[in-house]
Amino acid sequence: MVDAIDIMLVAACEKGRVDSEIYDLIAFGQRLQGLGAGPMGIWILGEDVDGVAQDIAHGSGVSVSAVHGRGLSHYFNEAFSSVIAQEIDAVHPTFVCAAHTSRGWEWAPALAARTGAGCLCGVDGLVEFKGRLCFQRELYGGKVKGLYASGAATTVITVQPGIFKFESPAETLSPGSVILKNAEDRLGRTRYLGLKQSETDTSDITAANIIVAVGNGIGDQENM
Amino acid sequence: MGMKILVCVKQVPDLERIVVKSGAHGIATLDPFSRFDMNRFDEFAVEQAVRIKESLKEVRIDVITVGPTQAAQVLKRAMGMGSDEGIHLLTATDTDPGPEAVAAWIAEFAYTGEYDLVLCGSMSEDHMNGQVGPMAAARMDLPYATQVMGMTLDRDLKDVTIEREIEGGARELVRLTLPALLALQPGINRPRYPSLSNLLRANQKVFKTIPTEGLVPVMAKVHCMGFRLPTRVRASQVIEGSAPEKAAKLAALLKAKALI
Repeated sequence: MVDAIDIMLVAACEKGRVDSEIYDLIAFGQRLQGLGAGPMGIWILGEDVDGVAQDIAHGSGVSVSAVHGRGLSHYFNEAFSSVIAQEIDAVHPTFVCAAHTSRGWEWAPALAARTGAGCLCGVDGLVEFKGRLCFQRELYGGKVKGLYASGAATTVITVQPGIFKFESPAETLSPGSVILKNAEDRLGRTRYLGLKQSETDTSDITAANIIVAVGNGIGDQENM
Repeated sequence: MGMKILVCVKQVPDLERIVVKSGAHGIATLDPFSRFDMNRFDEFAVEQAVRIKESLKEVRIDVITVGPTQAAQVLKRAMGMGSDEGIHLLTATDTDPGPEAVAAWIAEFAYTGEYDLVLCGSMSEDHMNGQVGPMAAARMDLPYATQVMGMTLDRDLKDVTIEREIEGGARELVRLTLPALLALQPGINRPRYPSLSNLLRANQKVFKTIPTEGLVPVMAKVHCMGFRLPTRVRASQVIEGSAPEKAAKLAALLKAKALI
């Protein structure tokens, strides 16, 4: 299985739960395949990931590599980059995809620099343009979308969550295979101390369903 | 020397002045930019460095930028805020060299500078890549963190404990061994305005200028093929009438959406 993989999808598993964006990544991989890419595989990194890997292989029909390690029980960019760099070295995928989250966006560029891969962050569309497969992402505060083509043998991509929707096929899927791997425990220079809830107001206007603007400043509807 | 800090800053166009025009086949063009500023995200990095300098003895802040001749303006602004020295990695053209090259060049310079801490903004306002920090850290083999919303240096200056913003309003608490690179989120502090005396000093200053032709050559691996106008997916509605009528209509609208 490993040698044939063209699209590597990467997700973290913490406390027995995998990133919810994994199915968005699968949908993105399917879109890539529709545009000519080869087989895809899922890499799940964490501690005790076997059960989760089985569930995802059954739910998606995609083969899963479950990479287990005590050093992966919490997300660390150093550990993630290190494990995925080794897997890239073994598999030589064309695309390495992760969700564009605070974590994916942190380790993906470093992985690209470390492995000599190209890197595109925040991809929200796929198009063919000028005969090339192009990845679309926002620029200039969202005023325009840039269309990017990669000339690298491997390109690391972070994909905006919620854009590509996985749809379960009508017929029953044959479950993907699951390969269990162990990651080396390494002493890193980063230590996880815990989580805390933010004390500050993190209201996100972009997450609002409705924005109400009051006053005369707007002027007319076009300015909204 | 107590601590040596390198802050990475970028000059970006004023986004408010960018005019986007639709063209043939849905491809857009951007009007030339007329005014440039320091990347807003980087102002937080400069401010954080200055605050460290104010709280510790013997802190030196170097500020570095990559860009054409005019990019040196952001070094002046950073010095106006309290930085000590400016380094300009001078590109021969106005073309953005891309995050791989910028990271490689900053790393090449910083590697020999024996910095204890490298700070940058979490991304640039124009290209919004957020890649230079992690890429530079990888090239320098430094531990790093992005989306940093809080940082405390340990008393012995061997470690830094940071809070990084993650989804769902939570923050991860992480300790990194120094030297390290941190990409800071807006909101970690409140950047100050440059002082007049510092700006006058910066105007007299000759920055260290290094042409990028002499640095490691880096070929961009991804290329921008064109621009598109984003599809508008949200609708707006202007509520008309007297104030009580508007209030009633808004309440009805929010009720219809099950928000109240």
